[in-house]
Amino acid sequence: MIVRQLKMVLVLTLIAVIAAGLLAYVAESTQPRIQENARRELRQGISDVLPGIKDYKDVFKDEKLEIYAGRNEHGGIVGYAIVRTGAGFSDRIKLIFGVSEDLSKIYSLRVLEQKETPGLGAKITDESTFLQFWRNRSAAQPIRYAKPPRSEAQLKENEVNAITGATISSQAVVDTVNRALADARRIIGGTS
Amino acid sequence: MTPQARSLTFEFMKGVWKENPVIAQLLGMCPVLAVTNEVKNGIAMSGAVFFVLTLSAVMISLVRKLIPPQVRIASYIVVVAAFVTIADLMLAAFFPAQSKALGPYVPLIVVNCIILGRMEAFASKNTLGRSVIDALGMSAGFAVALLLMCTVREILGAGTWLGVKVLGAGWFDPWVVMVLPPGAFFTLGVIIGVSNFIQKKGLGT
Repeated sequence: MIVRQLKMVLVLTLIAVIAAGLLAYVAESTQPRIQENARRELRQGISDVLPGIKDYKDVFKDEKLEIYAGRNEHGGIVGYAIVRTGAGFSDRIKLIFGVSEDLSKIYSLRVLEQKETPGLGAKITDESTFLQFWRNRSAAQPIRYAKPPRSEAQLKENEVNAITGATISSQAVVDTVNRALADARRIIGGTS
Repeated sequence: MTPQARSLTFEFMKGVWKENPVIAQLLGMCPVLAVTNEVKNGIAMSGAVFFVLTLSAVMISLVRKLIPPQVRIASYIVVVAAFVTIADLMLAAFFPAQSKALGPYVPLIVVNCIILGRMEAFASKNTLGRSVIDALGMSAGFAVALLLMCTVREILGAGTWLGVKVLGAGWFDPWVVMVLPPGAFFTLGVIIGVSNFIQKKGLGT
């Protein structure tokens, strides 16, 4: 009886120990690659929204907000890339956008992570229906969305087109960007 | 009929058709419904299940005589969980995009009843060779069902297959509902219906 119970404990413990050892090894050996993937993704995102930069440095980082300063070949700051997470329609939306060095102008916007409704809200990742209108917007005033969508010439300089049928997702992106700009102004100063 | 009397071909083919884990046994519905909106997610998921199911079957059938019956389920879970975590880390390291798209569904393979079911019903009672054949058959059956689902849903829901446009943009407006949760149920229902029809008529045996 005792022997059988002892065997039970021993076998299960042995299996668990072997599994733990194996996992520690695999985790250890894949870690550098996983971190490298994340770094590459970030670098790609930053150079997408701040074209022509030579390198970047970290300015600020917390759970919801990350700010990177993009530098030219002389080391001068040409603009900031801001990563911000905000509430979307079905889950959080994580986006990145580039702003001028005085935070007055948005260069362009990319969506990094989203789980919006496919075919509707997920169009926030679509260049022709949504993202193209974010090029070179004025950030001096809060961004607003235009509904129904207008032609590019009719949009005011702080307006972007909403997606038809996905107002909440469009609104979520606009709100997240405005919030990120307010945060960035507080952190960087934004007057220089 | 003792298990040993069946041929290896039978052990393999039963997983693909007669005892197909998805279509006939209705096991592992969670990934089947959740990740079949795009063919490439289905491929990644099938690959992960194949990896975990086969390696777990190898492990369990090797140590089947050492495991006391009282702790067998706990042992299966630890072994399966170890392989799932390895698969998850490998996906994150080598296929980051798929890893992101599959999200929590890879870790959830741990509690996928296909795997635990095969360990309990087969690998713990059969030799290494038979267990591997059974695991391969079940993985193949899972993959076939998943790819069927993905193909129908991606073509009708997005007009593409594996990201390539197959239905013309001019005349075909994608049925968005097919890539949403209801589309998964519609597709699964029709596939099961068709397969039951074929089985009833005795065409598939």
